[in-house]
Amino acid sequence: MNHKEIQSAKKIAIIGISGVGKSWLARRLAAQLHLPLVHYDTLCWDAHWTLVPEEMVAQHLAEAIREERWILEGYINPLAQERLTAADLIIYLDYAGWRAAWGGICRWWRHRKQPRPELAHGCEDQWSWERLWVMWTRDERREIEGEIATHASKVMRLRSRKETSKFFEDVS
Amino acid sequence: MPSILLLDIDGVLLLRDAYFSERFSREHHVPMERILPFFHGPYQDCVLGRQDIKQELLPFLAEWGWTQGVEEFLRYWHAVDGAPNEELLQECARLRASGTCIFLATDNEPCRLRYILEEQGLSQYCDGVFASCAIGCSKEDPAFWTHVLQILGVTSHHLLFIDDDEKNVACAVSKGVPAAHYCVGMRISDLAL
Repeated sequence: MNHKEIQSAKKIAIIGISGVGKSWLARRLAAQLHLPLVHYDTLCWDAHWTLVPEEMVAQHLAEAIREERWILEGYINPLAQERLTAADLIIYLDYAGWRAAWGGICRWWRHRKQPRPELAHGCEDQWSWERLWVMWTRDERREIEGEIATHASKVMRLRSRKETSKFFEDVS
Repeated sequence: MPSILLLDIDGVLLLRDAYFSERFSREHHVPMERILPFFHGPYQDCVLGRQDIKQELLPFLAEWGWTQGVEEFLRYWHAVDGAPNEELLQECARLRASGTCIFLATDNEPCRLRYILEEQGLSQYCDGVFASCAIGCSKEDPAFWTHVLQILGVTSHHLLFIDDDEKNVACAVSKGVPAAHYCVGMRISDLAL
């Protein structure tokens, strides 16, 4: 995809394993391209890390996808697969495990007392060695690779923070 | 501290002792009554992104006796209109380093906004910009805040908007966006309490 095609994309999915900075990029890109932003975590989690029932998440996701312009960011799972089909552009932050783990640590430090802006109250980040290991080993990557395999033509894979910064500069 | 800060530029991140129109009038001996028709008229359309400032300025420059061309006029304007509020910018840098997202919320036309972001370097202190010239409405229009909330995808209680103009503050508050009125010398941490 060239930069003109990227700038004209009206439906953008931002995906990647935990800790790579999907929300950070989504916020910057939404402000730059004037596309309404939807965080998948906002749909999935209610106050105090209460899981929203799957059917309700699916309903809200379907409503969001029906809109003509959006950025949808978050981890993907079979439930959220349709956003990849609907997207004009899929930005895949495919960083090294150490980078994701470091991102996870920084995020925990920043939001251990105050939830991330996309989350409800009581959803402060909690320390988890298990979570850190998942990031370090990129355990979620296999699932993501499987999900995007059928959408290869519209995937923009960014492999480092440097590549992401360059991408953002180019579309700005 | 809120997770996302929205900061005004003129009067907050850039400080000035007078409006550019007043300064130009004083330095070039042009009466205000010949300057204000531009700022109250075509300039407002430029701020909303409807007209090109270079085109709109041309007839006025002739009337004001400016002979060095529109580019030189804009260079002069941009260079004298506002100096960085270093103390506040340092606080912004500290807050961003600790995870706060900072967006600029400004009523400005594209040429000056570009100068502010690139030449005066404000782009390095923020994650993005909400500008009237891109959105098509100003901060005293509720539609501006509807747009901001939609773009950021968060509920308003995560935000704090800081502006030196009470009309803008009141409009943000009317849309449920927490907002604070800035006066020179204040710190963001004082306003976020």
